[in-house]
Amino acid sequence: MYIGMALVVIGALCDLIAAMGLVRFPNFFVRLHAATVGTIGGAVVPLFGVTLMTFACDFLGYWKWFLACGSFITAIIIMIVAPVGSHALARGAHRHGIPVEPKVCDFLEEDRRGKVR
Amino acid sequence: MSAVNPRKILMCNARTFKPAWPKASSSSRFTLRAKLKSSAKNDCLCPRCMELSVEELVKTVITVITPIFAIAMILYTVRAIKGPTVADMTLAIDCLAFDVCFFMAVLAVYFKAPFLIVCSICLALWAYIFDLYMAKYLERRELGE
Repeated sequence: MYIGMALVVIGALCDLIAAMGLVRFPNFFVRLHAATVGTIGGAVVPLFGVTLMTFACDFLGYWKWFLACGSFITAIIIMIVAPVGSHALARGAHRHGIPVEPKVCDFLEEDRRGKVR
Repeated sequence: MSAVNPRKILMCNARTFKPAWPKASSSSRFTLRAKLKSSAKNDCLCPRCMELSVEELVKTVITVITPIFAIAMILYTVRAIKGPTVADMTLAIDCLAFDVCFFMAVLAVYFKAPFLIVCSICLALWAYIFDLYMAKYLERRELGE
């Protein structure tokens, strides 16, 4: 129960940091890093926390089992689904030609143009 | 007359803990200390009398967590409006959806409404489909017939 609350608080702080990162980063492809923290640290970890927290909530009666297992399933769904979605988004965005500024090195672009590395 | 717990007497009646600062004024009605104080039955602040029940503890944690998530949602919306490309907006709405998904689970515990978990599962799957749809549009410029 206390572990659950600790996970929820950690997840809230992770989500705040990810939101600040999403606003301040210069580039779409760098913002993908912030979005990763936001979805996994900010939604999956707190959902595991809610699962552990509701196991101790006896004021809900027998609905606590429903809430606990439902949020556990939601956590696993988000854990599988969110990275797939952002991978597909990154692939689509790179092929569409979203500019990579400021750029240090872009190996995928060099590979697609057929340059010898 | 029920049997009196001798330990309770030692902690509560004999040595009642009173704080050194003045009594809580009306403006401090919203502080946690005042809330705990109002829930104390004997005007005693020893740890035994100040124990919160599970329900109060969970509700306190949820009322502390909610502003942090509200600020995060506002920042996501800023990026969703401001993003120079469509992919930025998609990413921000994706993160917003997963955030709201968690927040609905928390509200389900707070309001004792167990059906909200079903809604949060549905939202997570919607965000997935949204990402795939936008990726397909960005790559091939077709709108998915």
